[in-house]
Amino acid sequence: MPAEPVVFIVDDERDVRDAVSMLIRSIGLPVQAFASAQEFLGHYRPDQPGCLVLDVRMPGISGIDLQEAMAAKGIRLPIVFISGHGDIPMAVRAVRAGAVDFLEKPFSDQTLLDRVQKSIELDRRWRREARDRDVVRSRMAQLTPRELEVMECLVAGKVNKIIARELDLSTRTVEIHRARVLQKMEADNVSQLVRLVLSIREDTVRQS
Amino acid sequence: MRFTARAVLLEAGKQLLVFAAYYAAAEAGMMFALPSVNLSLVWPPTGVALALTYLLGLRFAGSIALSSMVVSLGMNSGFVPALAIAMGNSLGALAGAYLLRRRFDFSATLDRIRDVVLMVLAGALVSSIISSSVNAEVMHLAGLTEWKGFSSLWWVCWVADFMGILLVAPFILTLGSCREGRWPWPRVVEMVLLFVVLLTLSMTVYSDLLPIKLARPLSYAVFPVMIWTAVRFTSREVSGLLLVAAYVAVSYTGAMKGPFTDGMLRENLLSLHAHLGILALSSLLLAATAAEARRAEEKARQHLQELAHTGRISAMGEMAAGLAHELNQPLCAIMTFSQASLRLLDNPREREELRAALGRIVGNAERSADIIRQMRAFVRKGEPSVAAADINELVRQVVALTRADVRRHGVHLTVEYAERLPLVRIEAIQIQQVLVNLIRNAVDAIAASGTLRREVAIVTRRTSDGVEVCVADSGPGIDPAVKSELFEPFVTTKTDGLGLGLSISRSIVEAHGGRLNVSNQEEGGAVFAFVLPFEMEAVRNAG
Repeated sequence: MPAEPVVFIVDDERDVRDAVSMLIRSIGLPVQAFASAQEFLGHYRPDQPGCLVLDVRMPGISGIDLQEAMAAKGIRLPIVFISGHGDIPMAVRAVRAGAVDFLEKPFSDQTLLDRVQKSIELDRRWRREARDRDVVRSRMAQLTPRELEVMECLVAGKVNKIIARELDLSTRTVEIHRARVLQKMEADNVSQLVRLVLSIREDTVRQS
Repeated sequence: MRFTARAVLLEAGKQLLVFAAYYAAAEAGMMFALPSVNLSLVWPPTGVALALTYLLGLRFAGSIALSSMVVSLGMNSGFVPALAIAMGNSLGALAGAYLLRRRFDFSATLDRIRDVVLMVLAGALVSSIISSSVNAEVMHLAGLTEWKGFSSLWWVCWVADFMGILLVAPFILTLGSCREGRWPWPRVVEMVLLFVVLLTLSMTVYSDLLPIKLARPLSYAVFPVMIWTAVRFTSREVSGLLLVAAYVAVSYTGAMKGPFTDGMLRENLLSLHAHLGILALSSLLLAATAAEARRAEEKARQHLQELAHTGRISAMGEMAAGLAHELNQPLCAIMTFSQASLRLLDNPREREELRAALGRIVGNAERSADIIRQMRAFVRKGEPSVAAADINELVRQVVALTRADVRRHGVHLTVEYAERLPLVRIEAIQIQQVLVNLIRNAVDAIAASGTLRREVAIVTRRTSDGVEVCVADSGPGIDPAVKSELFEPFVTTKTDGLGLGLSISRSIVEAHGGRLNVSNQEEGGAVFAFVLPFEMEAVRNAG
């Protein structure tokens, strides 16, 4: 069930929190605001799409700490940082760790709303890709060990004859395996198969 | 100098005034004359001559001479002796005034010990020796007096001249250098009371009411009155009362009444003059000493004021980053609320939300303005203004000022306000400064130690003698080794900072008549506490 995206706001400063909430609600997006990182962590469910507008400096867990904690827990939610301090090293650190942007208070409404919408778009894409990867993984799980071996060879760009020699099979058997692999992976041809397999491989590389 | 008609008239008027003043003083002096020998007990014109020549200028010695000549001629001396006496008198005044004006650093306010000493030595002594020498010589040669023997004649003349200066000149000198504004009425009452007491005492002692045996010891009763005046008022009031006491004493003694009339004439004179001379000298010196002490106190107060201001500027500098952030927050809220409102304007159904946003904008603008006001007030260098203040309100303001700093270090600040605290009379800005200092020290101590519990607790409470403010922190506490010198200037445990904060703070609290103490809590951390007394005489000096 694809839930509606929600914009989460975490800022200990009540006035700023309320103002940002109001601004975002004014373009019709649902908002949930929290006064601290702890409160947010206690409330957030990872299957909730949306994005996070996060204050950098807060007593207790800071915004940067929260970003790290989410990464450690494998929670992937686009973050737009807002900060009262023009703290460049901190901004660099935040953006390197994957933040969408780092806005200095006071910010222009258009900039913030742009970043929020961009973040929601990004989140949507991330979630779609994640879903696609799950599909590919589940299809792959249906393959027999022998079919997996054949698939690896196909992805590596080897022709049937070579595969037959390497796996010590007849060309005819390889052809049957190949047809099964394409069928199970729901790929029309080998190039489509390669793309599907690489999509989960790339992701593994990116996430590690 | 331009010789306009106006200037000439003015000068003539002044000269005439000096002439008249000298003549009037001589007439008054005649009242103290001993009828038998045609000599005066005290000769006030000498004092008038010296004081006026000093105050108005040396050229007024001419009018003095003229006036003196008229006086002498009026006493039926011949023209030549009268001329000689006039020369002597004006020369005496001229010499004394010259020394005081040109040769020495003398101030007619008589509010330094050196002024009193200079007036006695360079003024009274020199002036009286010159004029009395000439007078005695002339009188002796011309046979104007029945007095036998030149040396004793000289002595009587000199004492009369010297006392004339010592008793009269201070009043004229200090009157001409009046600087004080209007007195508040309790002070007027105090002065009137002193005057009445002095007059009553003198009249009782010197009239024939009491037997001599009782009157003579009682004649010292004027001393406490004069001492009181000297300590509480200035040389001007002291010399005024002195004039009153001397007038009573001399006029009664001249009429052969009072405690100094039972011996030979010479002994009587010596006793009276010694009495009045010691009274004059001791009270004038005491008034000068008191004035010097007041000035030193004022200087110390100003010094503290300067130092405190410097301390506030430096504290504000250190807090600037935090305060900028503190201002940025409401600014950000204002901007975002406004932008959201602009978007809501297009949607007529959102009126309520729009109203709420505008309210929040106003609130945040007020908050910013308040922070700026506090900052301004904190570094302002205005006139000291001691006023009744609510300590709780003061604590609230300081907490607002230091909030950013406290938050930045991740410290939790709690305040416990005592209910129904009495007001205390303080220089609010300076007490704020003390509190800012203590809070920032507490935060720094916690930040430097890196403890897990990061708490600062402020408590206000009423004690038996005043209002106490405690600032307790969860830092490492004060090392007993540095505790004794903690309040010394330039002693610091921080890597940055001058180490002036606590020393200034203690000076401020003590100037308010209070005390600032430090102790360590049992559960760790330091407590700085200061008490401001309810009723404070010392608050006058707090500045």
